[in-house]
Amino acid sequence: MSSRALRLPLVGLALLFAGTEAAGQQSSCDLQSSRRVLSTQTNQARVIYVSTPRFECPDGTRIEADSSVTFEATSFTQLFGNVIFRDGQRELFADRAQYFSNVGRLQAQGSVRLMNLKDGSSLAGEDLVLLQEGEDRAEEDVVVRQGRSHARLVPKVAPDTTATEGSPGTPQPDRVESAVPYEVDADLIHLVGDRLFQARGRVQVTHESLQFYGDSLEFQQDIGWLTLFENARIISQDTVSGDTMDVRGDTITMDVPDGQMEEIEARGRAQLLAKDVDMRGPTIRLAFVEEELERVFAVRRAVEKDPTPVIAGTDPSTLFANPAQPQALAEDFLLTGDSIEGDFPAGELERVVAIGAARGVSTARDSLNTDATDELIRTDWIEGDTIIATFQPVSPDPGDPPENRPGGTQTRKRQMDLLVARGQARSFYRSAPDSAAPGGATSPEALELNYVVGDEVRLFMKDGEVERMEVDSPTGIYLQPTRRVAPAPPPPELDSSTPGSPGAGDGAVPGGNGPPGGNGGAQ
Amino acid sequence: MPILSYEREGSIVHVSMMLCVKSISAVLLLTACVEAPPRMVIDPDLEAMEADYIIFGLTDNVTRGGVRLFVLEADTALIFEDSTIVLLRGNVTLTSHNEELGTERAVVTSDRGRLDKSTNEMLAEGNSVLLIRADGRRIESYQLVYRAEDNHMRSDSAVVMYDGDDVVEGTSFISDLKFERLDIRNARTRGGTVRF
Repeated sequence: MSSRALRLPLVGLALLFAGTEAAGQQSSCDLQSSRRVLSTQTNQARVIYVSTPRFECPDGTRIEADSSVTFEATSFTQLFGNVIFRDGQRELFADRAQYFSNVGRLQAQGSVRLMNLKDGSSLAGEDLVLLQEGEDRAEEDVVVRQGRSHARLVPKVAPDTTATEGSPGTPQPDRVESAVPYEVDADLIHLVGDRLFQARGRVQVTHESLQFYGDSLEFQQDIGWLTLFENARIISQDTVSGDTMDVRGDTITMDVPDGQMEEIEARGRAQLLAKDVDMRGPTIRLAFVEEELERVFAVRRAVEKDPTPVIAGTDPSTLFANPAQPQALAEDFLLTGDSIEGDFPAGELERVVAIGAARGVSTARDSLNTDATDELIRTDWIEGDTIIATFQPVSPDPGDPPENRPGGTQTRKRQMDLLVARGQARSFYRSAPDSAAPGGATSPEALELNYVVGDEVRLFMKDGEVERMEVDSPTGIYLQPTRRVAPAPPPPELDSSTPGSPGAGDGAVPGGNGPPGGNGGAQ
Repeated sequence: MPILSYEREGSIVHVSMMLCVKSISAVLLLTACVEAPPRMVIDPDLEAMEADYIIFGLTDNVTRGGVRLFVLEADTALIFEDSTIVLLRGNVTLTSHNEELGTERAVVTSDRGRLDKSTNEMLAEGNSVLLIRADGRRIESYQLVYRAEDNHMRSDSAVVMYDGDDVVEGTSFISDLKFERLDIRNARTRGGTVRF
């Protein structure tokens, strides 16, 4: 995710008039040209009507309009038609404008565009209110509203400290490289000095392949803190690999000190959708190192009710029914825990760790299930105080395109390599019997069931299957069906309230640690 | 229309009398001997004038209902019996007075002038300057037209108005003498005249 940028040139967009006089004082300007001036005086105050005025103020600010009216008594000026304010660094275009110099308030309506000529930043909307800095106001304040307001914010790129240009120690002005602007669309845009940028109402921010969405947005530039409120979403697409990262939440905050993205935190129905992982939970935090996603954290929220068990292999929306405990879905493996941490060194998923009431459920072998399979044994799972899932890149096939091979431009697909449960570890694994059903029956076979408890359970995976299992201090049970064919599902007209369990009546194997597929043993 | 009255001061010369004297002098010269008597030299411009009267050192008080509207002064005034126009030459000064207070309100000076007695419209021409006594505002133009009937001043020539450090320039203007309503064409300013 590219984060360059969030150091926005807010300053300067709000400063028209500001350079001439502070709020509360009159600005004395001159009329460079006009078609007609009509001045009327009543009660020691003038009202000046000007046709096609071209004003110029001492600080270089130029004001143009089709006509204007200035009420000196109230320090109020109205400008009508093709209004232009220009001060060399900024331009304001509008159909109409009003300026209250005694309170330092500028209003503009109708196709309003406020542009920073220096860097190309701009604000556009139907109605603009600018409040000047003054005794009663510490900073300029700009609000654009009505219709769909738009802001184009060109990021200021900090000078490259490694650049050799210029003598050492010479202060370099802010460079405005050919920076791609942030395009902000919202119902309302609000700027406070160069410190605060706010947008409200269906906020959409686009920057290269990065997009933000939210009901509202607030960016505190001085501390580099950006917050998206309500229905918040960040979509970032890697320009090289094309992989998309999608972060959602009720609220998303981004920590971007000095324009460098350091952290994203999604709160409330938070979700991270990336190439290799789908993580959900009350709070998800993403940590970046040099603009690359390095680590993801998800933590639970304290709730009164116990978490609802999650069943894999069902609709993903139901998988995440428990909002209290974060969950991560990587490959076909759903991991839950009080907290989950994912490591993404160099942007690739390497490890997922679930801590506290951790549970992993695999849906990779859903093909083993039939309609008659009992809910109790429909999934493979593992539990423990801590579960660690390690991922490795898949070895490329010889027929893969070059970009998918190591060193290619495409990121390689990753598979789970090792699954470890520690502390009150438990594992349940199913497997199909080795032999075919007798008599060539095509009915689904009954499953072999392996349940093991130990201090630590290690599952070595290959191609999505458990290749080997190791258990410390094992106890458990291994069940093999004596009848090869699984019972047929009950006919609809029959009472199915008490379906037979697979392997019912099979003998237990106390203390046996049956390996997946019936091979191996406890260690 | 209010009744206006004029009170004039100055040396009035009837131009036809002057020409008669001139003829008699010529006859006397023809009958004289060798010694030529001194000749009366008449300004050719004056001789060419068709005015019926010439007033030198004119001071004209124009009143309305006994109240002084303005005082007109000029080095020379040419008066025509068949016209309401009075031509003014040299150091023309028009001093407008406040009808309520009787105080001076504005002074117009120019090289020449043209007073229409029927309308009391005074045209000041050549280096015309209007000075507002109350606030010291000054208006300069090639010509200024003052209308006593409605107390308006206007100019159809390029005009410059000075108000302290403020300067307003335009191609024409019209204003009342209180400058409560000032209309300037193609105006531009200097000195921070427009205060937002």
